[in-house]
Amino acid sequence: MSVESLQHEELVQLLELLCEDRLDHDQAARLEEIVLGDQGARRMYLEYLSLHGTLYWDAARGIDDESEVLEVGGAATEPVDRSPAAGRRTLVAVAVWASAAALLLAVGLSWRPAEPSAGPEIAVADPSGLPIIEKKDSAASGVDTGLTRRQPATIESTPAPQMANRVEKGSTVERVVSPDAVVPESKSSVNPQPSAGSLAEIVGFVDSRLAAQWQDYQVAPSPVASDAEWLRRIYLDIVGHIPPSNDVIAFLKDRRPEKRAEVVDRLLDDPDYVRHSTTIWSNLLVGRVERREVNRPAFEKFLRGSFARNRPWNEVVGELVAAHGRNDQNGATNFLLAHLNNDATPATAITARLFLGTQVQCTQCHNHPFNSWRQQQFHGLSAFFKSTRSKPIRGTGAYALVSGPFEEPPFYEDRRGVVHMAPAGLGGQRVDLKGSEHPRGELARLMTGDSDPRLARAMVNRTWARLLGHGFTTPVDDMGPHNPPSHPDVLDRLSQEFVASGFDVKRLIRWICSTRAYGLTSRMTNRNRIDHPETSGERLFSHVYTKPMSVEQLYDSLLVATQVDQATASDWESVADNRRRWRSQFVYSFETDENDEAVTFDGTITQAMMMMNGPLIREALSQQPGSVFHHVVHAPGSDIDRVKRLCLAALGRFPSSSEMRAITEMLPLRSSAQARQAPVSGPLAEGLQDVFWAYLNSNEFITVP
Amino acid sequence: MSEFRISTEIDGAEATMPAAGPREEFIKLFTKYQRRVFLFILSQVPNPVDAEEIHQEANVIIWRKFDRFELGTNFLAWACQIANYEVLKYRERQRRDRHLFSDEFVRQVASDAIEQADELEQRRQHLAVCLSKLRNKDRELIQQRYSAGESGKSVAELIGRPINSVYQSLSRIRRTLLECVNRQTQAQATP
Amino acid sequence: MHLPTPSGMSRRHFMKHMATAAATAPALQFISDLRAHAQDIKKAQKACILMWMGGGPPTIDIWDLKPGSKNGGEFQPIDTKGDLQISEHMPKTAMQMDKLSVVRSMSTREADHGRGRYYMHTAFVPNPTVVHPTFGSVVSQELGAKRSALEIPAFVSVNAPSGSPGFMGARHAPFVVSSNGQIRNASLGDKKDRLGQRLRMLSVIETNFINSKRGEMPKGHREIYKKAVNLMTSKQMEAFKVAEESQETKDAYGTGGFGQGLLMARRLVETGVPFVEVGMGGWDLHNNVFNTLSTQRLPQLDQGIGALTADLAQRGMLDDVVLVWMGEFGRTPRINQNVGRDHWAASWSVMIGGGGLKGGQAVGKTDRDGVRVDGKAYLPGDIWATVSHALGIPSKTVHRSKRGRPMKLANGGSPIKELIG
Repeated sequence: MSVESLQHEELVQLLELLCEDRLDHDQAARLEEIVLGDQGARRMYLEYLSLHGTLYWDAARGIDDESEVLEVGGAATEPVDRSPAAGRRTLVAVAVWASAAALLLAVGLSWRPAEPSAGPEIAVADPSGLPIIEKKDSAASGVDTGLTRRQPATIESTPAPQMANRVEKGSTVERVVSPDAVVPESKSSVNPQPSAGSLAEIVGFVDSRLAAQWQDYQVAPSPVASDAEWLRRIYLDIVGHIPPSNDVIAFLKDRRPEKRAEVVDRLLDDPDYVRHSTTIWSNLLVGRVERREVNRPAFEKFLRGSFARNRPWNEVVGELVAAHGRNDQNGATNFLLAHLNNDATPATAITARLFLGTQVQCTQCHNHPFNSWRQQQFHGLSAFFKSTRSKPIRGTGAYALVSGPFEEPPFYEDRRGVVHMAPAGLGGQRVDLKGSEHPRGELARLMTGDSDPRLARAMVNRTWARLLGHGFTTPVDDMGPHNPPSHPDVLDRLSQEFVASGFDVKRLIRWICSTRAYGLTSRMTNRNRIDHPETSGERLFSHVYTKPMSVEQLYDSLLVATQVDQATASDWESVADNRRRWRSQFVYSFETDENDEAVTFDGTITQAMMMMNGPLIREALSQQPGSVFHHVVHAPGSDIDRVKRLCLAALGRFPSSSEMRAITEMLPLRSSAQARQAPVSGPLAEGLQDVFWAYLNSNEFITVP
Repeated sequence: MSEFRISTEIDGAEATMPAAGPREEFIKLFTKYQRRVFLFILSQVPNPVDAEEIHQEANVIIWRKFDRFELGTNFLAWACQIANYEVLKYRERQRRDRHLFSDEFVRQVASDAIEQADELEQRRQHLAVCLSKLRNKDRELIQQRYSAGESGKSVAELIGRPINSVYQSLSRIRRTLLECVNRQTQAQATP
Repeated sequence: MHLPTPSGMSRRHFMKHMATAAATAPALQFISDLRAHAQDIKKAQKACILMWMGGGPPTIDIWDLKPGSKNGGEFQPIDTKGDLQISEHMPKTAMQMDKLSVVRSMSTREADHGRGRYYMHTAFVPNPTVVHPTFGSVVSQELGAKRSALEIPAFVSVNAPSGSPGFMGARHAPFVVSSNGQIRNASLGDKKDRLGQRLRMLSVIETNFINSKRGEMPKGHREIYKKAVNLMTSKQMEAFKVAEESQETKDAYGTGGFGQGLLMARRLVETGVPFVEVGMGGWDLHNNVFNTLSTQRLPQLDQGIGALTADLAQRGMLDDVVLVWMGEFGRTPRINQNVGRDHWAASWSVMIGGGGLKGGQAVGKTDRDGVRVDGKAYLPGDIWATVSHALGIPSKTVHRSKRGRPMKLANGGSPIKELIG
């Protein structure tokens, strides 16, 4: 063997080690020596790395299986005019592409990115009442980057027939739980602006975009969720608890195709929708930790009223931002009262994060490329809060949110010590607040007006994430050029429609829950294994991502499953009180000037022990009249039926046959002569307790499927 | 409401926007050269995960500076300059004793990579052909190896083969591909 | 007892469940086995106690005083048994400083509570694509997993949740307890005899759900339950019962949450727990810093550190137990208009000692006014690399995120030379 070929062999071996990340420092030094010493070796190095990188980039996908086996010395083939599909990279590419498109849109060029089919033109109304602007797809034809090639030629899915002609309802139901839940919905939702896209159009668009991506990635969506799985999911997502047994049975029996759509409508009108939405938003807005300045009941009353009337989201946000007055009389004031400490730093940060999906609080993250931008954003926004104070009202325990006239813009020092003035502003719009009597009113106007799309985008992203298990960005509230969304076209479209609908939150939920993606099972298949954000980083929505129940969902679901509160029919406030007390064992405040808190709940030993031995479970297994367990023990029926009922109450499904066999083998079932006698007692009753305990403690119980 | 104004506040509120034509052109170039910029970075930072991170940082800067790019000049060279700077920044952040390669090596490789960029791009097209000629079993293995987050080691665990045998197989396949690409390139060069 | 033959379960498996179910019955043989284990455990088990100062402590008033500077504040330095001076309000600690060292040249960039907490606990800056494990979770994985005799969680956090186990998964999450030693819902009550059957039924249901391919959460749930059962039925639960210490000992540590937490930490470490974090809050001193320090924080802190160090030394455990004291960041050398100090990450101190590390030293230094580091600066990764060195975790250890990204131990930091000798 010649010296050259020896060296060549060594080089290849070193390059192989490099490709597998196994090269140690000595070997790296040797590699350098060879590469720097010889031009041929340098070429070889680059060719090898380029091969490695291209394989990584293209993930070797998109190659057809048809060709013949590669033979040593085989004849050369003409290069094909076709590049491997970018596979995994498409996501990033599309995202980049869409932000490119966004830039185009920004200056008013009407053009929709990568929209494959011309379709009907969609007229979108500007909520401010400006003339209707038509969007055309044809403008896109002049731009070809090679990316459009990957888009399928036609939209694959046609909207499901039952969706096509649905009228959106605004009726309310009779069950009165919340004092505020029966107020008729506000006008904007009863009379949706006629120019907004129809449910079928919007859902069709989302479905086609997702389907196109599944094709690009060569994944197949999981099958449609079973009725039991879907019902459990929609209940937990919309009303915040599992479905009661009766609802499950009725739903399983129903054979009509429109039944799922009807459940969505029914649940959106359920008082528990109001309750669940209130829980979610009060946790986000004022946190779970009690604070002296916050009158939680008054705040929750404000939120309940808003969700019950389905007030437009921009109106609700505007009121939260501009609120003033006493916190017991005007519940909305509690949001800012919770965050006014430390020069309103938390107020600024949370306003940007929750409503605009933007993180501005991190002004000292030295390594952040957008740091100077953030600092400016932060101070521009905080200027609006500078004259806001909280004032205790003597002898009442109440606080007032007062806001004086604007004095002068604050100054701040950047990290180099240079002092800047911080003119009030939001997202590039500056405002002269001089002489303004109510700076926060100005802010509310800016945030909720149509010049800033972030309010809508943040809400769409958050709602999508809440329902599908992942948002278009991670984290859901850190959007911006540095963190492009996974599905920019879907996010754009839903945001536009959300604005056009008059910020109708219920409609937004209805759209998302009507998508094909939401209706799929959360089981993964061999053909969409890569769609797993935690392990692959991909978010394709080719199956639903499971979510752990929140503290409140778990508590409420335990009550539905066990009905232990039936004996003590409680009012709204005391139920809420019990729930707050129960969850307080999981909530911890860091007591810093940023008002951050932690919930030590997700899958900890503490939680497991609470489920195994806690008082609520003990109560659930006692035969308290009115409870599910009491009913199971006392109702007529076979012993097998009793196990079925317990499974249904806890998991919203019937046990599989193998599960039933395994469980009944552990029970002292009675002979057929006694088998239908009730009540059950002795060892069998204890055995049934064990069954119920096991179902309630299972991983399946705490999962939103 | 169709002009959904996406904020372009990257450089503060005043980020200036060039007129419509050049912008489209810029976007075209930007998209077209994504992979090649990545490969350029990878030649200097041979770990794809790290290279990807640097690439993302570079993309942000490229976007930010797009009004400074003169159309008609060499986009790749311009973008690689930015990428190169990001590589240096990355190396600076890393401690010296953790550098796999010396500064001299990185400099040399970077300049070679720009010189050979077109040639390497051509090879990539041949690679598509060569991949399609692999035996199914080999192609599956290489696909598994290069799917997101995998490595030779994790694939070995996944398919339950001894790790060294997987390394050997991957090495054999990569060599085969390299030789195949070489042949394709030569065949094309000598009509 | 009425128990039908469990099908599909090996006899050994069945016995194990029975054993756990009956663990509190004192006559059983395995408890005396356990006691025998406990004796072994006390021998040379490496561990780390992290004292976490939530809010960001003003280290310029505690470990690195600047007398004569405009930033010096109200306190004077005093001599210690080590080769360095510390605050006059830390006299008990001063007596132990031959065993402890202070790294005075931390420079850590992150001056936001959330980010600082994350960075100091994990050695990585926050990144939206991955959640890095808090270091207690790392130790739980590296040491806890090897301690087969340990039945209680390998990572206990007293008073405060430490952080997330990140990609290491819920089984390495901190077990959060209150310093009073009461563990909620840990008692099986009158249902002891039913636990075996319940767990078998649970296993049937859980296995089906795990096999339905819905990600990792279902499997993690089972592991957590296993740990919970181990804990509930373990004799080692005694370790949490600080109340059983003598009044004298309790008084020595201080009867507040921090002192009692440290006392519990000592008991846990003795039982074989490799990582205990004890939280002390109230350091976010934007105003009235000197008064708050001298009357409230420092007396508590001083008493706790002094008692713990002396106690560990006296029991011959100090060579095996590393003590680390830190917060999110330090506080501004400049004193603000409210006589407070704000967030400051550019130049501050961390205290570290025990575990065979060299004591009595000040490592690194800050300039005259405390506003920048003079010479070599250290990162949290260097602190955790030093701790790893003391615990015997190999520095070349690499973990992989769920996406397969390699993560070097302590973000590739290096043990601090002056400390490891």
